[in-house]
Amino acid sequence: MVTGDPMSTPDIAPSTAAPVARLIEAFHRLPGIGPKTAQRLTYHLIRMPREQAEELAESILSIKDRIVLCGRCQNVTETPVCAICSDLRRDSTRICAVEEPLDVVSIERTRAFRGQYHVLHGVISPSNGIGPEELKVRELLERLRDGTVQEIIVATNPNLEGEATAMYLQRLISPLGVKVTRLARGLPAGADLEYADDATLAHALEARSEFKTGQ
Amino acid sequence: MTPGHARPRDGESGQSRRRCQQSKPGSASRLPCDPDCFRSPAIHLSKLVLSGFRNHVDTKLELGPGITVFCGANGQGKSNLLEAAYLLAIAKSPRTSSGRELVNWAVSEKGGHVQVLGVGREGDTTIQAQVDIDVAAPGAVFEDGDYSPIRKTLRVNGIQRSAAEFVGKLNVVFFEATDLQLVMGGSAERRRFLDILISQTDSGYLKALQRYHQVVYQRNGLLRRVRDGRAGEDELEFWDDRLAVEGAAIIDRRRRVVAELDMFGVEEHRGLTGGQERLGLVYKPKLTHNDDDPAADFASAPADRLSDILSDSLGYLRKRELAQGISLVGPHRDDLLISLNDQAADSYASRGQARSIALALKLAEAASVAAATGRKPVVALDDVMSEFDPARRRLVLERASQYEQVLLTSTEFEVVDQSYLGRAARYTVSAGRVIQA
Repeated sequence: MVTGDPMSTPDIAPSTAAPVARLIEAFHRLPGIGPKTAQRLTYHLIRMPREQAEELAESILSIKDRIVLCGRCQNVTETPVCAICSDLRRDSTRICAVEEPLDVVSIERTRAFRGQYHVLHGVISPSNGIGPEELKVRELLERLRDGTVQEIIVATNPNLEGEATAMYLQRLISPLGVKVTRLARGLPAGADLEYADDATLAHALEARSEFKTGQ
Repeated sequence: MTPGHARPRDGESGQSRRRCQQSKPGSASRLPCDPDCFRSPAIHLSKLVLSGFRNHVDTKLELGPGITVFCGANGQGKSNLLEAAYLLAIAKSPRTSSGRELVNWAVSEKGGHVQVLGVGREGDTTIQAQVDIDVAAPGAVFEDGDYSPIRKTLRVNGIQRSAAEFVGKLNVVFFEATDLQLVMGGSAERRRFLDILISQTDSGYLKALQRYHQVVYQRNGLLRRVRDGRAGEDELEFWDDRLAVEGAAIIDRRRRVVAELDMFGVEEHRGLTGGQERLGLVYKPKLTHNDDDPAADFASAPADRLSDILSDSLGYLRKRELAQGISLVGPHRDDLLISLNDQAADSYASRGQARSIALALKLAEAASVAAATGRKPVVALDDVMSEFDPARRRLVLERASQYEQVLLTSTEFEVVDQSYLGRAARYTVSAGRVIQA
């Protein structure tokens, strides 16, 4: 049965010209794009000036041709070592380990972290056949060799698989004499207590902190 | 102990007590408290709307407290009304896990929208629960790229909610003929019974259960990977620990509810059997490597010891678990032991006896929901009357009618005792249409 298959073809009228149908299908394979959106995008592109369409096509190809993984942090970049890793002003004693490249963008936006990153490209999920071997863990250990790094901040998501990954990294790295920390789980800034869910509130209580002088 | 004497909890019951104390200014002649306020709080379904749900294309019902009887031949859609009411309580069908079966045939074939909406009334307050099921046309997916062909959306008072937030807003206890499986069937039936009961009264439980199932799912995957030499045994440590900690919490919660069920159930059963037979309920955690070990040692273990015992069991079972590639201990393997006169009910009880036990369990469930929420649930009896002799039918009605609202289906009105039928609201159901009788 075709229904529910991610690769299922959208309902394209048989009269649709072949190149049009082909592009609709291509869009439909992208995450978050349904059959209607795929059609809308396709017909929009038909009306688009040729230069713009070329630019779009070229930019899609260039991410395939020019994007590589940073030799140190494994983030996506177009240079052998990414801009963050090669920035000498950044603190090279701290590494924040994240699941995906997008997580780097989120943490960078806070401007609260001046260390470096390590992108694991996933989390441990045995049922999906993903163990530590499938992640960029070996590359992380490699970076700890010269003794510069003093702290690994594990910033995986606070769900089961994220915790499993965090726990694995902690077991692996602590014996090397490197401090391993975990992002705190608690109340979102500007939130009301009454709207917090029980689990979050319980964690916030558990991980409460003393007032620091000068705060 | 009857549900009417349930200890009130916070929330709704507290509100109604406050309402009692605030006598309106200018109504000094009235008693400070309406006599009705002395009755324990209860909820009834005041409105039920079904569109495209099974064979109900468009059914709208206004319902009142007391007994409502839906009568009709088999396959006309009377049970679907009760199923819809239950869907509003637990967000799932008692019959099927597939959403496709719940929807109208035409919707299932061509795609479309199905809605079940109910209004629960408790004193002056109402709550609206709504389940929408969207079915994508064959070969199509939803606009936002959601690939599942069926999508269920839960709403309370118009606001979208997760299952854990939705369940328990309307409490319905559902009885059906196949409840016999509770006694005669496999342990999965009894675990499901306990899980639904606890979920209706404890919103954290459903989340904990979902988390636990995710742990078992991932852990089973890892066991197979270790077996196949694709992962190291040391990677199991995290999952062992989660299984022990999350599992212990679920076992402890189920153990407590079984103790309560035992108390209510024995009483109900005594009433149903005239005190001739003795019912016993014990939660039996599957904790040990040796199935012959008496469960009693573990049943009484304090909650904080449970996770240690689970951990130990995992240690004992490591080789077998690796060989089979599945988790062999934990609440997903536990059972509720039912005994009749100290004999195992599944092998010892006759069908008639099993029927009484199942009914006692369901009545105990209703009492337990009332005790935990401080509010009497709606009681739905789906075609159970025909199973009993007239004396037993009267007993069932007598017990059930302690609740604010009883929704009942039957192939004929006569199964309902005249003394109850006279006061009952009566409907006939035919080909998905409901007509006042």
